[in-house]
Amino acid sequence: MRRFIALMTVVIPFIVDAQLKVWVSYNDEEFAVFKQLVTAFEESTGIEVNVQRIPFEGQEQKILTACATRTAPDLARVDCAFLGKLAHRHALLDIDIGELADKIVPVALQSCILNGKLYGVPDQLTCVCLFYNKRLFREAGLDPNKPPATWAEFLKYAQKLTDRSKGIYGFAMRNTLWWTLPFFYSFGANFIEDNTCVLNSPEAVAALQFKVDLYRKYKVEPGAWKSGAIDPDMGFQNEKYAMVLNGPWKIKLLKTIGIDFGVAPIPAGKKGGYTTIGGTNFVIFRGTKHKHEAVEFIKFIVSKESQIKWANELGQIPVNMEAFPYVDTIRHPYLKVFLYQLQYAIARPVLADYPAIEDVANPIMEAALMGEKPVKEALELIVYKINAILQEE
Amino acid sequence: MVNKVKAFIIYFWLTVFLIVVLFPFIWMIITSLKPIGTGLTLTIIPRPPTLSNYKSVLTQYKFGRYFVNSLIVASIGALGATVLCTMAAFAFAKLEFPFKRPLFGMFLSVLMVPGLMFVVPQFAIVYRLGWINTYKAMIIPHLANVFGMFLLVQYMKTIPDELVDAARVDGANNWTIFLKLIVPLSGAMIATVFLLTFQFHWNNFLWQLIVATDEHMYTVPVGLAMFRSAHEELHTLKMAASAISILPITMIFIFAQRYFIEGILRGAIKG
Amino acid sequence: MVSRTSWQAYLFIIPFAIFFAVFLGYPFFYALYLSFHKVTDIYDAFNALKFVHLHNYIKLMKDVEFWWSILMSLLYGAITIPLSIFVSLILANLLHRTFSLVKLYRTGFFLPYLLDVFVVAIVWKFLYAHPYGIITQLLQRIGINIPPLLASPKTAMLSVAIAMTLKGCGFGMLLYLAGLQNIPRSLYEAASIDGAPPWKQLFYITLPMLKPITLFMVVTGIIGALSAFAEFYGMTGGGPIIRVGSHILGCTKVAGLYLFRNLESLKLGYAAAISFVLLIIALIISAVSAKLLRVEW
Repeated sequence: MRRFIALMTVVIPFIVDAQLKVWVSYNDEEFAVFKQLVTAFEESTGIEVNVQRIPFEGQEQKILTACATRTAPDLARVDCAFLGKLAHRHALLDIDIGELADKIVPVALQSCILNGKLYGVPDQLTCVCLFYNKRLFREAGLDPNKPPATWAEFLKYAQKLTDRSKGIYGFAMRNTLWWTLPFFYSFGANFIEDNTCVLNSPEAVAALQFKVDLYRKYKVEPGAWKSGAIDPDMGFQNEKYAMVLNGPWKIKLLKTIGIDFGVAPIPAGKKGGYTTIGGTNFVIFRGTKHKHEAVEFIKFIVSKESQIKWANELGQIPVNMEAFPYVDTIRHPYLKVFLYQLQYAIARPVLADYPAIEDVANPIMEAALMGEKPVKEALELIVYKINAILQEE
Repeated sequence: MVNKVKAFIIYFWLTVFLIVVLFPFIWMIITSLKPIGTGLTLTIIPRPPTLSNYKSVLTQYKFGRYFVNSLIVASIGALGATVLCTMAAFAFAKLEFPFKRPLFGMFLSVLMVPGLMFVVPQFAIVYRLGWINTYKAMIIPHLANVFGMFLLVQYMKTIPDELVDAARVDGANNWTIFLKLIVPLSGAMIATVFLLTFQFHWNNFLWQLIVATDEHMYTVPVGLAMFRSAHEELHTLKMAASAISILPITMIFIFAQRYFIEGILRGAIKG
Repeated sequence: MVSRTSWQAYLFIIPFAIFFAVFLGYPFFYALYLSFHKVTDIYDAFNALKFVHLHNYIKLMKDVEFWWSILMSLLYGAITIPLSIFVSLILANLLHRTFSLVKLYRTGFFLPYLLDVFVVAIVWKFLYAHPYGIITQLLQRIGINIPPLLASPKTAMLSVAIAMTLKGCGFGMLLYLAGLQNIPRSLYEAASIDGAPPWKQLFYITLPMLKPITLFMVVTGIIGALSAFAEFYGMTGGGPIIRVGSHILGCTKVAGLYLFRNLESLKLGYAAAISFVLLIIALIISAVSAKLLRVEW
């Protein structure tokens, strides 16, 4: 018997001779943890995994070129917007991860579903929260442990925090659609319903009007969204902007620089404090010959054990909800806020060309911010143009 | 005395302008000396200056390996392209032959289509040839350097035709004229084309990324792109990496400067 | 007549032409073919093509944003090309002599040309930043208040153009320096004997002799302007916006950005059509420039 087992361990690797090719674009820290997970997977299944690390920049072109010439790997890690492009153009296989699907954070999983089929499994999840500078809060006579809970309160805080003579502003924002979605969502507006953009609702108008007012009427926002301006990241790092929207990826850097900051959920509007999500997903390419092994690999990465390790070593949100209770919130106090915020998050629609939508929406929103176009008119135009793109596909 | 004052004024302004032109470069160096994570700070002088970015760049990745790869690709690529360009340029600048202008027009037309359009078909060819993940794949598709050829043609046209005619009268054939007359006289520009092709390969991020399927084949620009991940921009590292990456090419320029500008046989044309 | 017509010339061209044909010629015609098609399956960009006649081109003709982007690219070229030629010529003439530090100056001016465009763009974005950027701060200190340069429609394009001219002028300087070597000294000597002042020598000897290089600067400048991408991507992202009639357009949304957008959207056939319109425009402008400069090519 013992000899038989010994023989099997020698033979098995030859029977399962599949070698999975995976392309990933993790940063240094993430890659180190990912490699450990890969080794663990190889040891437990005998499936060999060939990982190639590619830079984030340029990965789309590399993957697209590979698809066009049928040289794509079995799996790759891509972000939500890119997943939409690939799925709509039939470059991906649908994935069945069985019961495990019920354990994945629903908004993240929904962001991979197109026509009822799952085209990717999230491996990394982010969402946007409110970051605020505690030192500036204290200087303005505000309680650094009581961040604003509603947008009305937020405005009051921002007014107190703004000191234009010192160049300090209460809030700084971006103008892109993705960064504006938390405003739309928390004011109760929807982005896309039944493949139709509905950003012209009264709620959406109120949300964008609020952004415009922050800059034009209340002047608590410096115009950080203009080209060539000090952007929210830069201003927050230099303690010029007291509040900004940001994601968990920024925490480590802010700690390193030594900024005394807090993280709070998105202030509540009419609907509550809703946020938008981001992140990346593993996808399986159409040309793979090892679909079964690829699915096994994905299942391993999003398993409870892997995700606990991922969350605690990197301080990131786990994608598997079963890992939530094991997140070390003492080591990663900010994660608690993000985990809370995820209950109030809205999935991303899987679109054929999300960047094109940003591309038409942003200049028009900028016109509204500049006062060149009334908000209502701007949103009608955005809806008209986005719907033209949605119908094109 | 007047001349000295004039010279002083000229070089005063030349120096001011030099500082302006070099300012982004200086800023790059300053940023690269700031502690990691503070690349976006508004302070001008890093406090305290640190070499940690350079250390990270050189040790964190297989930078040595990338450097060697880049050096091989860039030097062989530049050498090959320069030889081909110089030969073709000579024919276009100093010889007459059938279909000369249509041919030249076709070469130039390709230069006018943005290179991004060519990536997919070029990759398909390289793939069919089985060259994926090799130096060949990085070098050979860029051997026909139209830009360099065009530059050499234009330069060779500034070489007086009388010299070529005189040589022909002396019984020299095309090869002799090319090797003994045109190449020496174009030394400065040939060296420049070499430098530019070298620089092209040294910065050719996208193509080198696409044909490399193994991290051992990554080159310097691909390695540098690793400093940027989805959200964070590690400015200090990026600037340090940029500073390191232009080092070899700057060295080539400084040490070989007399070839670039003064030409090999400067005295050849006294007229 | 310089030389007799000879087929021997092909011996010099064939090595270049072979690599050209395989790696540039074929992709060129593939792109041309693609411009009349629509890619229907991204997993098979070579076979799954649908013939759409002139559809891509017709759509392009009606595309306001495309023509605007061409206009912005041409504006960019109209600023950078003359400016770089002017600056390069001055530098070359001042540095075409021997004095102790001349090599230092030449190296210094040329150095920025070697840097990656995107890296330089990011640095300039920082230098231009308002109100904390170093340029704004320095000017403020001497009492000049400037508007946010990259955020104002009047200055955004100019600011990018100046930054890129400063980066690129060292290359033009190098070309002109090399060109100056080939001007026979006897021409100047003869002119001096005739009593021609230096500025006359410049206009009647130096500039005409450098014409082929100037043509090179113009043609590559146009190509560069029409495909410029990284500097705008890094510095402005296409903004700031401006209202033209009922359209909201980006003041620095150049053709390169527009092409990139369409490639990013995987509209490969449409992107190919854009490329060929760019090619035709570049050819026309180059031919006109050659005529104006009276240089044969």
